Amino acid sequence: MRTLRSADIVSGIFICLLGIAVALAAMSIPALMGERLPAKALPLLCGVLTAVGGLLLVVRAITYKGEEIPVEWPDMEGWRHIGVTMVALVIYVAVIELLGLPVASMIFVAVLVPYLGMSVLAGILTGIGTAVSIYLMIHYLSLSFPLGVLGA
Amino acid sequence: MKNRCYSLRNVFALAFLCVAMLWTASASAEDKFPSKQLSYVVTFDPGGQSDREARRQQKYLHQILGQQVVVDYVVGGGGAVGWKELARAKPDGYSFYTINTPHIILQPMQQNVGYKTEQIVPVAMFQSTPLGLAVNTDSPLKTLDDLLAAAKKDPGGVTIGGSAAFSGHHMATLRLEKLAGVNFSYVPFTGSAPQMTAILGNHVDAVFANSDDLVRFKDKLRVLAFSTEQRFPHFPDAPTLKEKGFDMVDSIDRGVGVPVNTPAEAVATLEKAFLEIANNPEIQKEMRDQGFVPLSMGHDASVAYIKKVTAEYTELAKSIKK
Amino acid sequence: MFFSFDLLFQGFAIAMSPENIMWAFVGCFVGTLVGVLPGIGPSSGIAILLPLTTFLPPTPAIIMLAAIYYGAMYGGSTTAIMVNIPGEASSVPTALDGFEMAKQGRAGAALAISAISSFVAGTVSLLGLTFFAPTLASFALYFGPPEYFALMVMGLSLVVSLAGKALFKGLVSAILGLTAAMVGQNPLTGVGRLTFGSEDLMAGVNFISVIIGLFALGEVFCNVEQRITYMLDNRKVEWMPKWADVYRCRWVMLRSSIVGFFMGLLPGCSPAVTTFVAYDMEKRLSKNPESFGKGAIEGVAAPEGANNATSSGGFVPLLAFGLPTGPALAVLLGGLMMYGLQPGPLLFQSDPTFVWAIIASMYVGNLICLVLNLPLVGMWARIALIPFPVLGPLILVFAVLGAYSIRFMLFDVWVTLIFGVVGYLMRKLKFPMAPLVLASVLAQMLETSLSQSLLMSRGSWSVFFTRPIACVFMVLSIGSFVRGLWAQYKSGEAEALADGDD
Repeated sequence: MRTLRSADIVSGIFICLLGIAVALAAMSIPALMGERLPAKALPLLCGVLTAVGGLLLVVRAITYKGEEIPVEWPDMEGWRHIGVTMVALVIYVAVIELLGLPVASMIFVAVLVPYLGMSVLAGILTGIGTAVSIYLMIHYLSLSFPLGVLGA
Repeated sequence: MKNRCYSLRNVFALAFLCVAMLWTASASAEDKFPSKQLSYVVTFDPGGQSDREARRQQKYLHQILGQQVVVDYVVGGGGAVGWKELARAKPDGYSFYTINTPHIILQPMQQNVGYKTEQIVPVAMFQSTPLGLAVNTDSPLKTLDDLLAAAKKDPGGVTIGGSAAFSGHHMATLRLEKLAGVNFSYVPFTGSAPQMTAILGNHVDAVFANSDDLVRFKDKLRVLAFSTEQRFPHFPDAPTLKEKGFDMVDSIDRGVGVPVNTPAEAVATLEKAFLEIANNPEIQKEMRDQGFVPLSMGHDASVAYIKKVTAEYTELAKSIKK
Repeated sequence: MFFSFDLLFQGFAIAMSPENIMWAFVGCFVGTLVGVLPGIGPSSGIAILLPLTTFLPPTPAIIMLAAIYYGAMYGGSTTAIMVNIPGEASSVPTALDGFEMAKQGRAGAALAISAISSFVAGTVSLLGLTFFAPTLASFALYFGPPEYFALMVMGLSLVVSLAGKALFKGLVSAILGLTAAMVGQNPLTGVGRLTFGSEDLMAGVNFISVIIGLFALGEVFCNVEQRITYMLDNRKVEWMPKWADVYRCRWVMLRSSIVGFFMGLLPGCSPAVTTFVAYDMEKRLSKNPESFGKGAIEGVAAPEGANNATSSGGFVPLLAFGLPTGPALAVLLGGLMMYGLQPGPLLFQSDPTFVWAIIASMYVGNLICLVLNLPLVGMWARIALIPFPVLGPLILVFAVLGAYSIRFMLFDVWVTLIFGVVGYLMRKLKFPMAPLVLASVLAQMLETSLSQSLLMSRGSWSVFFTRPIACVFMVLSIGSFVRGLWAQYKSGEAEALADGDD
């Protein structure tokens, strides 16, 4: 995974497997009467092409003779930053319907802003600002966003 | 570090306080239905027949029910996405969804779409568009007999455009094929706009289309027949299929529905409101002018109607499955 | 439909009444604001704001609705340029160069050129609408399913040039896009496929969630990783465009107006296709195509102009036949019908003053949008000055909001998150992303028009070559594929892996 060559091999295998899964799933699409283009044709084609594409990616990477190109993976600190951001994002989305968009967004912003390097105060202020603007937007455009705890 | 934890705790306490206050505020005053804003969920794209009817009714519903009514959209899968949500919605009567026959009958019949016809409780049905068979005015086919003769001569050579496959339009085509003993090629489109574009551009030979679309393109289309009991007022010269000896009546009918277990009181309140609007002579005239047929079926009548239509389509589906 | 200067002037007289100008202004303003929100495109924008207009008489109400429509079109590019969130598929080409420009501190120039290009293109297509509507309207009718299929194939052939040197990875990326679009119900028959038993997947993978994930989230993850403090590469900021920039784009604007206008006449041809086509055309015509994707100002002017030209072009079939070319115009049509107005030749006869007042108001509205948007440029551009630790989380919230507002389904947000990770990996492994987006946008129309064409032709594939318009597009796209592959072959296999760095 360090070099583009090994990364291509890994991603090629993954894409190939994905294509095989898609192709297998496409096989079970029922045919309908009166069709000129069978319902499974295009999904199957996509699956097969994906698998072939993945395979070629692997072959191309293995037979590659040029200079090795390193992939710019993040350092430990970088991974931790991405990891925390992603986890925060997942938790945020998971609680949207429970807490409602304004509150969930407020907490998300208020936590992430300080984590990424600003002061806690900046985080809280941004969070409150976000919550208020989202609330006003939902209210005035009467959008069907979940209001959660704020909803009447 | 210590400082930071402290202020975070403060924030949480403050947030908790706010939440608690709002909770108590919202918990009170929940007596007579409807006591808060209602949501009218349209299961098709804005601009379509269901949406236009919802927009027409919106302000009257507000007047009659005394609460704001918001139009929302849950669109996808020819309505299936919305009806799947309907089946799982909170049965309190505060959200009602547009429903269409035969869609809500045909979709669950065809495959697992995440809802069953029985999971939808109709409140009222108020708008209908009978189906008409039409060709472009340039077409050499002047009458229904011409069309059928052309299809006899060249089985599968005559194309009929409709909106989506396994839809009312498709079923009407199949029914006519069966009754007349001919074979068409049914070409489905993704909605009425592309369907009408195709017939205006002569890319299909004929269309089975909703009456309001036919009325809109009156001057560019020749209606060969209507799938109604009586001749359609906008096209007095077009015969009914029944007159021509084909015993079929097809229409797309629209109304609203709620999930099962919705309190009977709420269903009755909504039903009353919708029927009052449906029986308003001014609205009925407006609908007729636009090519719709106003209906005023309440809950019981709608249930019976859906049952009747279900039986018809079950039989049709059986007979066409090879 | 029957043009006369009298009617046009009369229309202007009505459109310029202070009251109507005010409603056009309100519409442009609200439309721009709504357009800025990702996910809420012009169609949901109009649908949401429709109730606001019901208290007005027909003429001001429709003026306001039309203003909301193109206001939203103007607003759509803002997030694409500033924070790399293309709110809809048509803004993707804008983001490719616009966001690069913003990072280089030229956000002001990018935003301003997008407003100016939109104005020019809007006005050019309005001239088309005013003088040639009856002739042009029938153009829409020449396009049947085989023509659409051929057009979509031509759209797909753009992948070759969008991918640049990374042709192979570009093709893989396009196939992945097609595959993602296959998930869910078949658009014609409603049969579910590739759902792996999940009811959520029945609703399909919406390409807007894919776009927001790939572009916005992927970018934020990269920035988080590098712990950057500002989105800007350097702090030298250029707030306004130089006159030379605008002048340089004059032909770009004109060409993309024409392309956009003609493609706008076609019902069902999404503006996304148009913007990609315009972008690609400029890249091919450019003297230094390498600059595209690295902050070329033409790369912003072209798609934005085409986008606006398309939206004005759509009024031709709408007013001439009552045929909406897209969801936004369908809502507008619904609005017209709510007032008992049926667009079509009859409306031009029965109510010419109304129709010409609307057309005249669109000229006024376009000008209002320009006047409204240019001063806002400085404000939006200053988003780049927000420190990243604050901006990053806000972009994430905005992306989630956008994904949610597509269909109000949490499922779409999860899809966005997944594609955010995919976008991050694609950046690292040097897969171009634009082909994936283009393919997923084209997929539905490609599939429906193919199956319709085969039904019409009774299974014969020759239909794509026997119909003249379809044949031209097919030949063009085959030529484009072959040329791209040939160029790749000639450049040699040596840089096969490094090619990702386009």
